[in-house]
Amino acid sequence: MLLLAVIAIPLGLDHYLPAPEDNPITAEKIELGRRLFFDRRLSADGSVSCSTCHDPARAFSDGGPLAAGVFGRIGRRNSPALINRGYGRAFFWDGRANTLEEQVLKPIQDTNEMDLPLPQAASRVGLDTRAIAQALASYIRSILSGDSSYDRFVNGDRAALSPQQQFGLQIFRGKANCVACHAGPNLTDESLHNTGVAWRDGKLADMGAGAGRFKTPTLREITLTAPYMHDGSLATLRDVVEFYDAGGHANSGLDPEIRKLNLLPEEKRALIEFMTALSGKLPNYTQEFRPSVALAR
Amino acid sequence: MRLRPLTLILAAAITLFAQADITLQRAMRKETLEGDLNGAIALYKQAVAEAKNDRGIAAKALLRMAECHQKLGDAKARKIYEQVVRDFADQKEAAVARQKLAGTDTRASGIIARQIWADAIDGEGQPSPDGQYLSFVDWTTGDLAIRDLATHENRRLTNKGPWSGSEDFALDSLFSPDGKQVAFSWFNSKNKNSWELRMVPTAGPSSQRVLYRNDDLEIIRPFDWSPDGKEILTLFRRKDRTHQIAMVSVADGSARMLKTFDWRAPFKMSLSPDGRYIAYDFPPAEDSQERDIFVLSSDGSRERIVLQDPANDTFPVWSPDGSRIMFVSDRAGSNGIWIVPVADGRAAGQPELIKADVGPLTPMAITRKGSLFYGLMLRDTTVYVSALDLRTGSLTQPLTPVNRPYTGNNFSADWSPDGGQLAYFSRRGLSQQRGSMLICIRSSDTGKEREFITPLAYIGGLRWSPNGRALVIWGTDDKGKKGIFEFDAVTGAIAPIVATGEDFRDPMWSPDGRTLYYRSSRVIARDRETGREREIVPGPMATNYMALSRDGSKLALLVEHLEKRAMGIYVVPTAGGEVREILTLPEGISGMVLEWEPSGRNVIFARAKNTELWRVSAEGGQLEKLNLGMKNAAVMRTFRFHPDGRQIAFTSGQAGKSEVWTLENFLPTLRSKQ
Repeated sequence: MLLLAVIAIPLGLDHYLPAPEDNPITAEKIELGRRLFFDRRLSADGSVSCSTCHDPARAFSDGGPLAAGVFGRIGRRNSPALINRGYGRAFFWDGRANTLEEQVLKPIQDTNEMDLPLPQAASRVGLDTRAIAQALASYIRSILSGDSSYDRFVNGDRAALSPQQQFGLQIFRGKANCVACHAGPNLTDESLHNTGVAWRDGKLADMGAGAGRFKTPTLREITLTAPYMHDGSLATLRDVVEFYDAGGHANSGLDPEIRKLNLLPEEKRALIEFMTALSGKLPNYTQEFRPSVALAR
Repeated sequence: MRLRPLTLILAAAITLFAQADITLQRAMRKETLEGDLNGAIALYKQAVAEAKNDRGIAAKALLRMAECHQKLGDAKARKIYEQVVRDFADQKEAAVARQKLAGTDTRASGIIARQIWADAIDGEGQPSPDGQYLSFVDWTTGDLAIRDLATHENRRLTNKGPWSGSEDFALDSLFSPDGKQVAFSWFNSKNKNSWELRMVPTAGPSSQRVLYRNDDLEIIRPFDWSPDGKEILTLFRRKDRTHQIAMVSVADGSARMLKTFDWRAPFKMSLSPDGRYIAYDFPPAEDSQERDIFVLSSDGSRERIVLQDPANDTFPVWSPDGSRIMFVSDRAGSNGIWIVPVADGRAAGQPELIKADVGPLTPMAITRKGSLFYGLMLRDTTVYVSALDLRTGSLTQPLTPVNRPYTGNNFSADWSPDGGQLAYFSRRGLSQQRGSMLICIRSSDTGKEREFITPLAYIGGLRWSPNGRALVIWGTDDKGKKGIFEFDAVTGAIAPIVATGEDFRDPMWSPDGRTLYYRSSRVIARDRETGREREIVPGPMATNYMALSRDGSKLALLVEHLEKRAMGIYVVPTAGGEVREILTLPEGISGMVLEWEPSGRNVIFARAKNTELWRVSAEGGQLEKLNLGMKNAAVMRTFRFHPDGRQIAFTSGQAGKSEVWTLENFLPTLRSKQ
C-alpha cells in the first residue's frame, strides 16, 4: 500500500508543494529516491552518485567551483544546492528543464557527470527510467529548508534577527535591491538574468540560457554553499557583495537591475551578516539508506 | 482665394461635429458623474441631432441613450438598440446593440441587472450572505461602514474620527457566514503605517479585535470567509513585493501560508462553499497579460488550472451550491460575465456567457439566494486641447478631446519642447497590471497617434525631455517597485533612472538635460552623469506638486500647511537659495496642480477644487482668475502650455464614480428551479 508522504513544511515555506498529477509524493517514492540518490551504480564507472556533487552536509552542493564527474572529468558549472527545489519552476543554471522529473535524468547521462545511458541505468537498478525519474524527483521535493532566523523574523518574532542583521535586511530590500531577484520564501524569482558573471575578456565565456543569462539561485543555506555563481568564480559572500556593489561586469546584455550600489563598508558587513540568518533546519540525510522523512498515511 | 468657400464649409462642418462631440461629452458626464439619466437622455438626443453626417457620434449617442433608458427600466431602450442595429450597421456600436438586445430580453433569460446604489461612496465592499447589507468604506473619514439596502441607511462600524486627527482607514471587508461579524483590513498609521486584519460585530456598539498583524507585510487583504467561520482567506503582500495566499485562524490569529506569487497577485480569490477549494485568477506566464482561473486545495495538497484560454479570465466567484464558478472574461470580445461548471476542483463543462458587455465591473460576492453583487467604476478623465490667449486669459477655440475611442481613460498630457508632439498616457482594461498603461504620442501636425504598451503597472505622470526624444515618467514597474523611468519615444524602450523604491514624483529635466528634479518629502536635484543627489529645499516639506520654469532657474511648489488647513505656493531657485512663499490659499488641503506660464513671469494654478485656473506673479501680488476652466465643474487634473503659449492641453474629469449593481436569477440551477 502506498503511504502518502505528509512532509512537515518548515516555517516560512508554502504549504502547497507542487507535484505533477502523475507523480504524487509518496513515502515509498521518497525512500526509493533517497536510495537512488546515493547509489553509485548510476555512474558509468561506479565512482560517483548524485550525492557526490550534492552533499547533504553542504546543503546538497559540493564545495568546489565546478562539478566533478566520472573518470576524473570536470563539468562546466558549479553544483547548485538542492534546497527547496520542489518549489522551482526552472531547473539547471540555464533553466533548460521545466520539471524535476526531466531534470534528474540529465546528470546521469551527461558525459562530464555520471555518463551512463538511461537503459543501462535502468538495468543496473532494476527500475524503468520513469520510475527512476519519479523517485529521484520525489526525494528532491522532500529536501526542505526553512524555520531560519529570517523566517521567524518575517513571521512576527522581531527579536529573531540581530540589529545588524535587521540593518542588512533593510539594505537587502532597499539600497542593494537584492529583492529584485532574490524574493519570496525561497529567495529566488526562478528567472534568468545576465549579471555579468560570464563576461570575461570582452566576451561571454558561457552563454547560459542565451545572452549570458543564468537562473537566480536560492539564498537559503548560503553559508554552506560556497563557492558562488554558476561557475563558482566567487569564493566568499564578501566577494559576491563586492561583485554586485561594483555593478557586475558591464556588458550589452546586463540586466537593468544590476548597477553600481555604492554600499558603505558597514552596509556590506550587515548584508553578509543578514545572509547568515538564512540557514534553517535541514533534514538529516547524511546517513545513506536510512529513512529520514517522517511519514504519515 | 479659390479655396476659401470650401475652407469655410469645412470649418462649419468641423465646428458642427465638434459641437456634437462636446454635447456627447456633456451627456456622458451627466450620465456617469451626475447620475442624471433623464438629463443625459435629452443631451444624447441633442448630440444625435447635431451629429447629422457624423455617423460615429450619432451611433455612440444613440447607444448610450438606449443604455440610459434600460437603466430606467424603460421599454424605449429596445427600440433604440434596434435602430442602432438597423441604421448603423457600419459602426461598431451595432454589434454592442445586438448584444444588448439579447441581454434586454429578460422574458427569455429571466436575468435582471439592478442598480442598488447609484452614487456609491465605495464600490469594493461585500454584501451580507442574506443580501440585506453591504459593507463599504466611508471615505469621508476612512471608517468601515455597512449600508442597509432596504432603508438606504449607512452605519459606521468603526469610529476613528476625522482625517485631520487620524490617517487610519479601512479597506477590504467581508461578512462572516452568519452575518454577525465583518472582517476588514485596517491601515494603522500609528503603528509604522502597518496593516492589520480586524473583526468587528455588525450589531454594535462593540470593540474591534485585531486578528492578525505583521510588521513585515505591506498590505493584508481578506477575500473570503471559510463556510465554518473558522478561517479567513487572505492575501498578504510582503515587503519584498511578493504575495501570499494565507488562511488566518479566527480563533488564534495564526496564519497558514498556502502559496506564494511573485510581484503579481490575484485580483480575486473565492472559497468553494464546502471550503475545500480556493479559486483565483493569475497570469499563466511571466510575460502574459491575460489571466487564467486556477483552483488550489485549501489544505495545500494540489492545484489545477480550471480555465486555460488566450482570453483574460478574471474575478472568479463560486456559486452558492458549489457547482459553478462565475468569472469575468473578454473571451467574447468585450468584458462579460461567464460561468463554468466545476466538480472536484476541475472544469466539468464548457464556459457559458451569462451577460455580455458589462464594462469594468468588480464582482463582490454571490449571496445565498444567488444574486451577484458587483461594483462599477466609471472613469471620466479626458485630455483636451484648445487654443488660448494668455493675455486675456481666455480660450479662443472650443475644447477638443484627443483619442476619442478612449475618451475617459486618458491622462497627463505634455507638449514636446518643439510643440510638434503631444504625449499622454492612456489606461486600458484593469489598472495595476502589466500592459494596462499605454503611452500615446500624437503628432500636432497630422493628428496621427503612436501607441506604446509599457511594462509599467502604473504611470503617475510624464514630461518630455529637452531633446524631444524621450519622456521622464514616475510610476511603478511591473514588479511593484516605485521609481522614475525614462521612456524612449522612438523605440518605446523604458529604463529606470531612480529605482530605490521611494515614492518620487513630478520628475522633470533641466533645459540642458543634465539635472533631474523630483520630489517626495524632499525636493531633489540629481546629476545625470554622477547620480549625485542634492536637496534643494533643506529638510522635509509637505510638497503636493511642483513645476520647473521654462528657463530651469526656478521651481514652483505647492505645499500643504497642515496646521492651517491651507495650501501655499512657494518659489525656490534651482541653484539653491531662499524658499519664498508667494501665496497662501486658505481653502483647505487639496490635491492641486500648477504650472509656469511660458514667459516664466507668472505661476498658474488650479483652485476651487481644481475647477478654476488662477494666475499669480512669481514675485507674489494680485491674483487673477482666468477663463480657462472646464465647464460643468469638471476637475482639472493636469494642464500644460504649448511652447508657443497659444495652446493648452488639459486633463480633466473625475477620478471615477462608483455604482453598485446586482445580477439576479443568472445561475442556471436557480433559473431552472423557477
